[in-house]
Amino acid sequence: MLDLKKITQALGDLDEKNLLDMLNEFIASGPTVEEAREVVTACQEGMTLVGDLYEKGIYFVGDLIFSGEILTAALALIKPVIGAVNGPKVGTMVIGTVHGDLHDMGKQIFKNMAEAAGFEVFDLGIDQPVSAFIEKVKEVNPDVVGMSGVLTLSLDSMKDTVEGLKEAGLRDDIKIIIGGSPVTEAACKRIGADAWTINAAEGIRMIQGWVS
Amino acid sequence: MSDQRLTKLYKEKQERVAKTIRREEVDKPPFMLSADDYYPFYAGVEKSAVTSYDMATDVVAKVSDDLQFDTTIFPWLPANLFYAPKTRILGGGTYVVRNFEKMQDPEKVRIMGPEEYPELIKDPNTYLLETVLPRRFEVLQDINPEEKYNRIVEAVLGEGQKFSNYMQACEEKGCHLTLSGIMVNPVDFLFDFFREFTGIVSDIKRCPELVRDVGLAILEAYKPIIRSIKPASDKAIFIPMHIPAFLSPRDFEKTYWPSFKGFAEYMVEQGHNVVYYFEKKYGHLFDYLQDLPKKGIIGVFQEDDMRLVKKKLGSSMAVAGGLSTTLMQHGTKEECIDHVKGLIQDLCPGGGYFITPDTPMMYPVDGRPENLKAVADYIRDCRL
Repeated sequence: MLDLKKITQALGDLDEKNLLDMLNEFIASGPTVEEAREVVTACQEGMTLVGDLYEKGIYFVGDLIFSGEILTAALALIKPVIGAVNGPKVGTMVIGTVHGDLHDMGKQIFKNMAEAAGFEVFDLGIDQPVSAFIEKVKEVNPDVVGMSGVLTLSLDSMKDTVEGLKEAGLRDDIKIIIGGSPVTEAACKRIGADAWTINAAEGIRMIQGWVS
Repeated sequence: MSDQRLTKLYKEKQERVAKTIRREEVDKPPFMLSADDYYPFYAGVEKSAVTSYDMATDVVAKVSDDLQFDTTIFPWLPANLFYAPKTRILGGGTYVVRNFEKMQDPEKVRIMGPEEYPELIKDPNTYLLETVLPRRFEVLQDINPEEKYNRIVEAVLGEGQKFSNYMQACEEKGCHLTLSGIMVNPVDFLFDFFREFTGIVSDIKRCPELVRDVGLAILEAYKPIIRSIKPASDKAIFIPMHIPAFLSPRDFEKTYWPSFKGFAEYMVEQGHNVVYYFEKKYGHLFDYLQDLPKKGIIGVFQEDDMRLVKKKLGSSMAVAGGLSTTLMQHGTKEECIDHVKGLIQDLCPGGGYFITPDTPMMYPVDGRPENLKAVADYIRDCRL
């Protein structure tokens, strides 16, 4: 059996080649579904290491993005063994970049890390109107809604979206987190969100706290 | 304002800007505006009503007359005039213009892969023109070379000339512009137009030497362009800094820094000033920035503490930033003026500091007009 600690460490070190070599060898050995699930968990723990190093200022946003690429490649290798990579779901999240803003990167980082933390994430995409958030929330009844934006203008769009969710009678059933460079404590209050962050790892801890 | 008074004020602004770039002390705090769509908002003009560069010039002149800033990095870039014609001529592109605003569609950026880097390194101009650009712009496919080049010349140089005329008209109306040209650093060129974020970050991790070498090859291709721009002591080539804020110092040094440094040195050697717009935070790269040429550099900072910036980099470059757009939107006039007094007191001594908004003013939420006016009036009347 594969050394799971080495898997976790390789992802934490962003050592893509080593990780994929180990996983290819593992797949070739004909593992059981249960063994493959343990490898997925080890990868998710590797993503936690990446998040910790980011919070310590050792890794940067580029490292977070690349960790997502490695994770995607790793899960693609394991998926044929277990059919689907989803383990037990800790919560459900709808995420999107608000209307008027086409920035994708912050949302993508948060999505990768939320999925690695066991959330089922429904990604609406970029430049999403209020109605798209409302419709998806009605459809999947999430625990958390995440709104992303980089432009200062997107703060108004976030406020519109929170108000839209309120008017649709959905606000009280969900927690809302906002993220992106213009977001501040004061902006969070004006918008009416439950939490704000400019740090994906910190944001993940917040939403984990909401569903635990 | 009389023409004579306008000319006198303009010359004073020119001198103040040139001296601040040289990090010399000046008579009053130099105010460098950084704004785009905020111009029509401040002027009380609907963007949709502006259908020519002449009308846009009037908008810029009205704001310049009212605020009397010393310089603005660039004038308003009306999306329907500046971006839409290029998109029309080339039949698409990475920018979309919607409701008179331009946005870059990230899904349209990735157009080539790292396996093409060796060809790109051999001859960047030819590879981009013959192979990569026709992928993005279908109108460049299946047409003879002459027509292909005519289209590109019309889109880039023809529209560029209209913009240059517009800039000159703004200056003739007393609005000093810092801009002498717009470029991006070589590795950002790759990132912004051909590989997008995930692509370039993955390349930096998987094949750092190739990314470095593409940057150095693009730098060589840039040199004739730099030689075609006329230098001036009160002007600078504008370079927005994109990917480095997201890279570790190690990745930055291996891939981005060689062509960045070489490009800075070449521009300064050719007599140019360079204004770098350091988007987001750059504290982790200050050690490198200290190694840029010691003259002709202006650094505009967005999220870094300006007092720390001046302390660390003030002996290497002129620095700009610090004016809180959040405070200008949510604070009172008195709070805004107190904030500016603090910036002047802490950052103006010794010269080499422009008071500049901490984010480019693009939207109405980037500052209440009455607060910006109060700030501008205070700076205009202040003497050092």
